[in-house]
Amino acid sequence: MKKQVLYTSVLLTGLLLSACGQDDSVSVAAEPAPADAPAVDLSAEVEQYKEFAVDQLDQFVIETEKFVNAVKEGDIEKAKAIYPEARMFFERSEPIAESFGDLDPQIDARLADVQDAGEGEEEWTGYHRIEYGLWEENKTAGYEEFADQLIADAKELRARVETVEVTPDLMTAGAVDLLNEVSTSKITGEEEIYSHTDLYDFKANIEGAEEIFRIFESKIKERDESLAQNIEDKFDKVNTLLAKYETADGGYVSYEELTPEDTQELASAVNQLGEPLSQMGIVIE
Amino acid sequence: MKAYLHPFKLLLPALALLLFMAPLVHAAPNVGPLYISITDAILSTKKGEPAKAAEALEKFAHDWSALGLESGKETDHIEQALDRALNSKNDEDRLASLSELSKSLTAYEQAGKPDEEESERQAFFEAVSPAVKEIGQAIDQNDPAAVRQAYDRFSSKWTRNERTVREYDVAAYGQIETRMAFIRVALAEDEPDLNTLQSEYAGLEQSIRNFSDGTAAAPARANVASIDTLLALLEKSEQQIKEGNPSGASDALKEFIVVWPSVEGEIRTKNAGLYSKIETDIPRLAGALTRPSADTDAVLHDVDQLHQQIGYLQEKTNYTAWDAATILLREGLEALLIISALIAFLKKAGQTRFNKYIYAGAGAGILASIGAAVLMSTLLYSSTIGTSRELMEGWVGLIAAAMMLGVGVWLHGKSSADAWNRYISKQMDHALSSQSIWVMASISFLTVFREGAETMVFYAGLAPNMPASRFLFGIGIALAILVAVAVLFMKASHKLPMHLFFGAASLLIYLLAFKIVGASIHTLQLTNVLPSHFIAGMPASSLIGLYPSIEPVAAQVLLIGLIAAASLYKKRTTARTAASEA
Repeated sequence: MKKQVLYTSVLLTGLLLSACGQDDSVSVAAEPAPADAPAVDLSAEVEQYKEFAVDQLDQFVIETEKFVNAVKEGDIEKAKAIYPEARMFFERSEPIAESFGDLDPQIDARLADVQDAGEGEEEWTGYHRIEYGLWEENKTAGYEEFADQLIADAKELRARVETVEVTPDLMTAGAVDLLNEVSTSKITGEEEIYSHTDLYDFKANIEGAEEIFRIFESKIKERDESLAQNIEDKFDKVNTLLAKYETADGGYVSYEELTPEDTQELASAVNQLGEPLSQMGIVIE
Repeated sequence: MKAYLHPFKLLLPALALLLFMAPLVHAAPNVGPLYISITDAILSTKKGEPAKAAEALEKFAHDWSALGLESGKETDHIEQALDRALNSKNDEDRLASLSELSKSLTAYEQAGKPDEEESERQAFFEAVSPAVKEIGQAIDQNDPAAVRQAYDRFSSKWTRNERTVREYDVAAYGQIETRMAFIRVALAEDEPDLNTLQSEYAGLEQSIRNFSDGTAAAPARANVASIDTLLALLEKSEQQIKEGNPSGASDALKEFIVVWPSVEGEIRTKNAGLYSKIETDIPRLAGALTRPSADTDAVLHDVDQLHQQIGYLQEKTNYTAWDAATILLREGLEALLIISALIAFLKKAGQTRFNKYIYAGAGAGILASIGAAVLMSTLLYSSTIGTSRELMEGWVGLIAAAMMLGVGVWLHGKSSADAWNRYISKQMDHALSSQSIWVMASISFLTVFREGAETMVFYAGLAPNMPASRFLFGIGIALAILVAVAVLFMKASHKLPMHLFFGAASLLIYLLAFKIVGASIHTLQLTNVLPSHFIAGMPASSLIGLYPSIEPVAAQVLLIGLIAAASLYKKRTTARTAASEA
């Protein structure tokens, strides 16, 4: 019996030594902490953004209804006044609004887009079609049908937004997309070729991107304080520049009043913002 | 008459069938206008006009029934949501059911649509790829004006087709938008930086190609380059600086920039801070080296820092020599125990002439294990690099942990003396009664091979994560202990209380399984196969396999639960057999 105990304890000691050896090396081998921090929970941010987008599109439908009524009543001046304001709600929530492949062009396509897509002018509907009537032809007659179509499309879009699945990826990509939109069409004056209200869209796109940044801001600060500060500074710069073109009634001057130097200055401010903003994705990693 | 009636007779049922099927073949009715009523109801509710909301819902109900759709799962959902909305008690309830109504309507539309994802991905690629190629050609010709033109063309193509990418792969969408932003920024310069353009273009092109191939954006890592490639280039650059050749060093860093897009994803997932640092530092350092006044010592220091930090990423899971040793030790001991028990039994039974068969079986088992190891290393190591190796490590680790659980439970069961004796006599009775030397040999063979093959599976997961010297050291230790134990066993096997030994061994195995489960899940999280939900404030230790996120911890809790359940089960069955034998 004694021998049994001896043999067993010898063996068990051996085994335990190997087990303890593991534990000893915990303190000996200085392990680098895991390089990554596991993904953070962003559900609150996603919810917040969805609320923002839904609210914007609620306003968009309400304003579009007013716009459509003005067109149908033949009140050109009123329609012209509502036009840029109503569109801003759409432009701010563009990352969500453009999720719907057919509705987005039906509401927001320019003639050039329609032609590029290989379709005829008769396919052209939506805001820009009516913009053409208001500013180029200076009339609303004959545009009633487009107005009806526009409000129907806007309402369909709003209801469909209930089905959009917002993800952090969609938000960060959306912010970059908004700036790309600014650079490719608003800054060149190609968005509003008849009304020249491009700066309204410009401002709205920037506001849409800024909203996404604000929602993520505290999370970005946790990860990279200087990145958050950098984005903040660059937004300030763009906004300060834009403020130069604000009018007394809170609107914006016509794009035609901008000199090439002005647009160059705006473009470079947007580009400088785009660089840090595209790094915002660190919050999802 | 009858003769030509005949074909009609055949045709009639076919015609009837066609008529019957016609509604099914037709495209689903356009339900788009129904959404208008939903929006009307939502906005009226929000404005505090419930009567108008009810009106809009009545209109929906009317239009809906006018469609006269055949009922099915999707239409049932729509009607349920509609019902809830019509009978909602308050605004909140109504808004929620309206949202549900919109979703169920979309679900109905989707159900009627054929799955066109693959062809849409392809169509997207065909639409944009000519413009993408133009950008590449213009960059190759170093013609900024042409690059700008090509980029603009691509940009407008993209805007018209981006929806496909958004819909199927938001991550890819984000990558492409980001690349475009960087290209545009580079092009805004009077003299665009060719390196930046090249690397961003390569990334853009890769993202687009991956998307059309259906390769998910996140694990999109090229096989051509790995973190090792980056490390090699940094090393080369350091070498060149030390040899007083800054322009050679700069070239190495430029090469780094070209390779970077295909590896950056991997670094980004592991260390986002380092990722941004590399993005800014490497071009700066490459530029600094080309200046004659360059402070090469400072550059060398920075390059070395990056080198070390990237190097850290490589050693994400560090196993100690003891980890390697315990595996062989455990499996080896197990095999040794059984073989010694066989020998001891034969001795007791006075059948020592069978000893050689047991040894032969064990020898064959070792050979087969080595064969399996060679197969595994050639099949698994050479062809799978990067992500796939990480993936394999993760999955193999989990399989290993499952096997360990089984082994642990088995050992645990034998930790009662009665159970162990029953097991041995059952095995031996069988072998002796059949009088077949083959059974004897194959018990020995299978015991060794099973343990051997298991060891190999474990090592396939371990070895890539530790230096070869440490790995071999661990195996050496294990072999030495095994030899010692074998000698001990030969002399004393019949005197040992096996059950105590088994109890301790199973405890050890459970501990290792705990660590492997944690590390494997963590690896799968790093490769984006599994999601990760961070647990704030929880300490991390890769040495005991503790990672502060929900997934590995949950798996470990599950493991502990299984072990507990197995122990309870064993206790019960042992008690029952004891009772029935009594």
